[in-house]
This record gives sequence, structure tokens and C-alpha cells, in this order.
Amino acid sequence: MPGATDAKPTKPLKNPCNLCQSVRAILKRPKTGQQLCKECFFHVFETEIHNTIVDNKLFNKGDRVAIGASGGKDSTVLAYVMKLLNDRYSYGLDLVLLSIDEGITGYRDDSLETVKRNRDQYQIPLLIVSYKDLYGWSMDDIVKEIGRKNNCTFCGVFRRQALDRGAIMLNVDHIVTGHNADDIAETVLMNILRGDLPRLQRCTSIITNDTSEDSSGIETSKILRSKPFKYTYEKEIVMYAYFKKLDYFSTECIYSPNAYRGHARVFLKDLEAVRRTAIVDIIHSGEALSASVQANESTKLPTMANCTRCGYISSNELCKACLLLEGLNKGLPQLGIGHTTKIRRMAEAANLASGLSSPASLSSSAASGAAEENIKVVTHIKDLGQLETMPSLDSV
Amino acid sequence: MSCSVEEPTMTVAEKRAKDRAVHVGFCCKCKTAKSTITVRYAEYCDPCFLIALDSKFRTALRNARPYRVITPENVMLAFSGGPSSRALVHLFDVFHSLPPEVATNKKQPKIYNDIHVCHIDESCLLEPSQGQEPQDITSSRSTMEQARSIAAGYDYSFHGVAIEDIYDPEWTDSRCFEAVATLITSLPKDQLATSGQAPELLARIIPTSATSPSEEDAPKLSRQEKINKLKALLGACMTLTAKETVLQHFRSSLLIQLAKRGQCTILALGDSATRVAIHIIELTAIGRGYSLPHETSLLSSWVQDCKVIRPLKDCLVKELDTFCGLNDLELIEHHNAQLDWTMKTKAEVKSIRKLTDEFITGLDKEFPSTVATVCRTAAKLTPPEATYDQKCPLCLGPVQAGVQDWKRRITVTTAPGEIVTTTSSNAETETKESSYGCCSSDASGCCSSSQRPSCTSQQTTTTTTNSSTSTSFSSLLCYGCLTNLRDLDLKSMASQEDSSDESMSLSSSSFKLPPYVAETIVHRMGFASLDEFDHRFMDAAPATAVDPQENLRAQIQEFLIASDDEEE
Repeated sequence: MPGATDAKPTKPLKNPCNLCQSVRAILKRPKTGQQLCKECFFHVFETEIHNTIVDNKLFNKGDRVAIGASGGKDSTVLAYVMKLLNDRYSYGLDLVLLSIDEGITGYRDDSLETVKRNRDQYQIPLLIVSYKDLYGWSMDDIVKEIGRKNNCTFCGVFRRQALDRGAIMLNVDHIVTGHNADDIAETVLMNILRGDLPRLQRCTSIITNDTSEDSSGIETSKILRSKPFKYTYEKEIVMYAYFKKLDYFSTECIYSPNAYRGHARVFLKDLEAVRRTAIVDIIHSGEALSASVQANESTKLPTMANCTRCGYISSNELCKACLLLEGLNKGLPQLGIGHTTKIRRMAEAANLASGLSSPASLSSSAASGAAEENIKVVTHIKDLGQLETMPSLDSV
Repeated sequence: MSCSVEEPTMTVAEKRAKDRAVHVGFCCKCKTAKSTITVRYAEYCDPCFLIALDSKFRTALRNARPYRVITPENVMLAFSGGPSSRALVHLFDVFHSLPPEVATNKKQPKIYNDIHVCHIDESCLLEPSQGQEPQDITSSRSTMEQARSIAAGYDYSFHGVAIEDIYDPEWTDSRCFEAVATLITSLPKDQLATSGQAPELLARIIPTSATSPSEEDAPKLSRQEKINKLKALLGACMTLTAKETVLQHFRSSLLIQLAKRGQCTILALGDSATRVAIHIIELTAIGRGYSLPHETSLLSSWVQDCKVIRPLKDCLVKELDTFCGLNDLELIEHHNAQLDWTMKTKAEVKSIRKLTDEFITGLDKEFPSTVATVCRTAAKLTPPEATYDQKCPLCLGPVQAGVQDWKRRITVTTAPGEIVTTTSSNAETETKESSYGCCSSDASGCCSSSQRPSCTSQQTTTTTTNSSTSTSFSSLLCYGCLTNLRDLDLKSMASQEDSSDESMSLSSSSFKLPPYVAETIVHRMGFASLDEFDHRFMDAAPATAVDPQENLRAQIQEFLIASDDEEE
């Protein structure tokens, strides 16, 4: 944010930018503490992202890249910077915006309006994929059904798949998301606190490639995912959006509060306040730890297969999304959250008991049969490419 | 990423506690006595608690070092005086005192040969109480005698050292490394002030005494001199985090020296589970993830000829407190130096360690399995493959290749107009000559494999290529130490340019790094000893290069004060 504003117009610059030395500094860079002018800040911010993209060889020339856009600060800046760098350094990328409509009234509907404005401002085509269309349930419906607890599980699992499904519809090679350095550092801490070694290993990798693991001809989406903001501080993203006067939507999800992760976030902010490099340091530690996990034989990832119902990559017969959906559709929302087999067994027992005892069981099962007709069957991933009802791309 | 449910699931301990609910109020082991102690979810009576803790300790000890060993080894117990290490000493005694019927059985092999206890006296860093002269502290508050008497109570041989002895040439691998290291920056002072970026650090090796090291009766450093040096270094660290981290490195260095001196091949630390968990998160936060497996594991074989074990790694600090209480074990008050009082300003009220401590302790109240989970996570990590010879001079830990380059790519510090080195190899050719001017005559000397070619900041055009004896220090450091030394007060260091003006013979930084650091630097540069190092540079540089006379030091101090005045 702008620093001391009372500069004198006399010869020696009161507070010169640490880099160019010729313009008065207006901000203190959160990552280094350097005092910079606006232009130098833009330069270092953009160059770091460019370095990240180049060093990690994220893209190939001619790639079609979807930008996961929520309308929030991270993805708005991501869309802006991706377009800027693509033009400046001639990446030769074909950019599209991809938004997921979870169906959260008062949150997502407003943020999608922002994305639509971004589409016009940056001249990038946009596709919006909604939970309602894909799964037959919006988040509002789900929360009505299961309450506030655990709803984030549904949203998270569905979003991951929805992004991939949207990407297949768009026929892209790559999805970029706006995860920033703070998010990654927080995830590193979370995974240590939870003892989740496989995730600790994966969470610092900038690019995830589902195809890298399959050797047995498992059909997976060939779509890469990456996080160009891996080393970009959240504060600097806000700063960039502020000084570039970018149009973004800033409200927290109305269903989101999560106590455990909240603790980690507060802790991370405290650390950053004490030592500003802490976020990068944690990521560095995370990368080193990730290598330490790799060498360990006991923590191998589960073998991957395809979901028998929708074809999505899964470590079980049914993918998590199909399982959660089944739970929703059958009125067993605990399915996929607690012990799946146990809940299934209990549900069967309950069905059996009600079938024996009450004569009304026939009618009730008929009613549930009628309900089942409304149940959305998720399109098999293979068929997505040649969908007849291919959603039209909101072009500009 | 902010929303997904990631609450820890119920642990085995919690489930067991539920099953035990029938016995509420009674000891979970004997189920007959009323419970007096609650540990996480389990309730114990006093006798059962002691048995449980003892077996926990024995299990850990067996896992760290199998009982069936052919040659018994000596073990050194690191004893600070706090409850954890106090419990360690006592538990080792219980473990080692065999019942008479076994002791007489000659066939029963001893598992540990000799048990030694060592203690580091940190009283010189304690906060001076009101009305006390700083000089009095050492004598009046020394913890050494108390530690000695506790060890004597067990009939263990005792080894003590004061923390300021880190500056004694004796406390190095060679036991007579008569030199310290001083730091200078690669950027001139005026640029430091304006560029706002961390400069490359260069190190110079300076003999500790004015007289030649070969001369006999070289004056030994007085205690007060060593204390002053230690305080000067800690004073140059501008954050509490940096002070604490440096002090911790000194402690570990001394502990390893103590173990080696006591002919011990095992060093046992009293780190509790709580301590280890906090340490794991702290190490992650200060960028030491690479050495984390070594610094937190039950058994680490990183240090050459000295295994480090942590047999209390499964015991919570609360359990150890209770253990000390039940056994009436004498503790040493004020055993660990708290450095909070050294912070003059309120710029940094808390260190990363303190923050982590509060975070983990707080989280553990809400989710009582936190400590155990964190410890288990780290226990599954494999230590990195690195060679001990290439250790970091400051922390003696493993060094990861290419860290400076990594940092530079993700934190750009060049102005828009400047040509940015897009590949790391570009920087190599242009900086090699300038910053290693010292070794251009003999490239094999210090440009050994360990030295990353790209270790200098890319825009250093200021280097004057004097044949000074400075060597790149930043490139020898591990990531964690590199980060930590960014908190050094740069004004207290001279730049390469300044010193070249002053006939480049001077170390003008107001602080020195201890002999063990200098020794490691010299080793990393490929020299076997200080003499060999001296010889090499006597030839390459004028004799004055390593000759810091007292009067010259006085001269530079004047110079420093003058420049400080100018700035303010």
C-alpha cells in the first residue's frame, strides 16, 4: 500500500524506488520489504510469474489453456497476467476462461458477473459449467439436504471434476488455477499437521499430471493442471489488482468456515508478520520434504483406475463424486464421508426392515422410484467431447 | 482451497478412551486404583503411570539401537536441567541399574558401556536482574555446579562447557583452530541502503590471536572476551528468530564436541514429543525442511562418528513433568537462555519458535492428537542423501544444491531496464572471476564441487578483484542459514569495497563467527588445516591480508562510527 506520501519535489528524491532509483517508491513489497515504485513492482511481479512458467516448462506453444476463473482476486489477476505474458513473451497460447457455477446464491451468482465482465475486458472466451447441469444438484440444494457440516466435501470433490469436465468440453490441454504461495504454504502445514504424507508429497508440485502414474492403460484425462502463482504472495496479488485497478469480487463463500484450516491460516499470517520470507521458506521446506517422502516405500499412492460409472480417474471402483452423488440421490448423505460400507449395510438393513414390517413400503419404494427418474446420471467422460448439447461458448 | 473438510479423524487413542469410559475415575491399567494422572485420553494411577512411561522409554531406546549389539558403546546424555533432560538422566539410570541377580550374571552383556552427562552453561545470556552488574551474572547464576552435583548423584562422569566457549579455538574438530570468520558484503554500503536487497555474504578467516599460531603461550581468550564476542554476534542478529536459531546451532555444535570428547559414539537428547512436534513445524517455517528428518528423528546418523538419539520422542512434556514430580527430581531453574530481553525494540516481540509453540500447544488442546500426528508424520520421512563433508558451516547440517538460484528465480530484484539473466548459466561466467578473485590463481582450491557457480547476486559489478582472502560464504550455507543470516544487521558489516579502500586487510564487521565455523569454511574450501589455508593465501595475497593488528582494528572502529554518524 502507498507509503509515506509527503514527498518534497526537491532534487534528491525523498524516497527513491530501490530498483530504478529514479521514481519515488510508493509501496513496500511484501515479499522482500523493498520499497518500489509502481512500474518496478509490476515488473518484478510479472517477471517472477514468467520465470515460474518458463523454469517449470508449464506450456508448449499452441496449447489451449483454460484459466479457472471464480471472479475472485487470484483468478482475476491470473487471467490478466496470463494474457499479458502470453502477448509479451509470445507463449502462443490459446486462452479460455472456465468457471464453475456451484449454485450458491448470494455468492457465486455475483462473482460470475465479475467473470463475465473480465471476459469482455480481456477478450477471452468464457464457459460456465454448473453443478446443477452436471450433477442435478446445486450447492444450495445440497446444503438444504445435508446441512452446513461437511458440505465443503461435496463442493470440493464436485469442483475438481467439474473443472475437468469443463476442460474436456472446451478441448483444452491445460488448466491453470489461481492458487497462490500462501495457499501452498498453508497446505504444506496442514498436511504435516494431519500426517498426510502422500498429499505432503504432492502439494508442492506446481504441475499435476494425472497421466504420469498410469502405466496400465488406464484412461485418464490428459489435461494438465498447474499453479503459476505458486511463488506469488497473496498480498502482492491484492496489491497488483489494486494498482492495476482490476475488477474482482471479494466475498468469502457463505458456506466456507473451516476451523482447522483457519488455525493454520492465522498461524501462517503470524509467521509472515515475523519474517516476511516465511511463506517462501515453508514452500522450500515443503519441496525438500516432498523429496524425503518419495524415497519412502511405505507411502505409495493408491493405484489408479477409472470410475465404472462416469469414467473419471479414481482409486476405487466408484469415484468420490459418483459416490457422494449416490448418497445424495438415495438420501444417504453420509455416503462417502464416513464408513461407506457400513452406511450402505445400515441402509440396506433399514430398507429390508421397513419392507417386512410396513405395508406402505410398496408405495414408498414406488415414490422413490419416481424420484429416481429425476436423478441426473453423470455423463461418461468419454462422451463429453462429442456432447450433442455442447454448451455454447460465451464468446465476445 | 479454503474450503474442504479436513478435520482430523478420530484416532485410535480416542476410540480406546471411549471403550474405557466404563472405568472413569480409575486407572486404565490396573483398573483398581483411583486415577491420579490424565494423559491425553488415558487415566493412570501413580505406579501404573511410572511403569507405562518407563516401558515407553525402553521401547524407544530399543528402536533407536537394538539391544543385541556386539560392542557396547558409550553414551552422552545432554542435560540442560529442564524436566525432559532431567527425566532422561533418571530413566537411563533406572534402565541401566540391573537387579543384583542379573548384574552378577556375567553372560549378560552390557548394552551401554559408560554413561556420561554433559551440560552447557548459558548463564552469561540470562537476563541481568535489577541492580546486578553484568559481570556478576556468570559467577552467581552459573548452572554448572548444580548440574555437576546432579550427575554426581548418579555416579556419572560429568562434562561441562559454557556457551561462550563456542569462541574457544579448543571447541573445534581440530581442537586448536585459532581463527574466527568475519563477514563482509559484496555490495558497498551506499548501495545496501538503497537497494533493499540481501547482498552476497563473503567470509574472511582471521586468526584469533595477533601472534602467530605456531608460537607457544598464545594468549588464551579470557571468559569475558568470549562472552563479548558471543553477545556481539547475537546483537548483530536483528530478529529474535535469528538469535535463537544461531544459539541453537551453537548448542548442537558444542553437544557434538562434548560427546566426541567423552569418547561417546551416541548422543542422547531429551527432546519430548511436544518439543519434537514444535520443532518440526518450526523447522518447516524457517526453511529447514531439508535437514528436518535429521533434526527430529529417533535416530540420526548424520554426524560422523556420533549417532544422535531422542529416546523421549514418544513422551509428552506433561508426562515428563509429572515423572519428575513423582520422583522428586531436582531441576535447574533458569537453565535455558531466553533471549527476549535482548530485543531492545518491540519490532519483533515473538520469534518463530515462540509462535509455533503457542500454535501447537493451542491446537493440541482442541485436537489432542496433534502432537502425536505431527511426530508420526516426520518419523516417516527419509533423510536426504548428502555428504557430511559438505555440511553447512553454521548449522553443520546437510546442504541442498542450487538454493540461491532457486531463490533468485522466484524473487526478482532487478529493475525493468536491466538485462535479466534468464538462465542460471549466464551468471556463472561473469561472476565467477569477480567474486572468487581470491582463488583465480588456483581454481581447484575453493571452486570445488560444492560451490555453486551462480552464487553471487547477478548485478555485482562493483567487485574490485582485489586478491583479498574473502571467500563466498553464502554459497556454502544451507537454505535455512542463508535465510536466517538475512536478519543480520548489514550496517555492522563492511563491504568489499570499503575494505579494499582500507588496504583490504581488515575485517571490519563488529562481530565474528566462532572458530568451528571458520574451520568448516576452510575444510569446505578443500584445505586440511588452517596452516595449509594460510600458506595458500600467503602466497596469493600480501602478508597483510591476514594480519589484523589491534591498532588497525581500532582504526576501523573509528571509521565505522564515523559512517554511522553520517547516516544518522
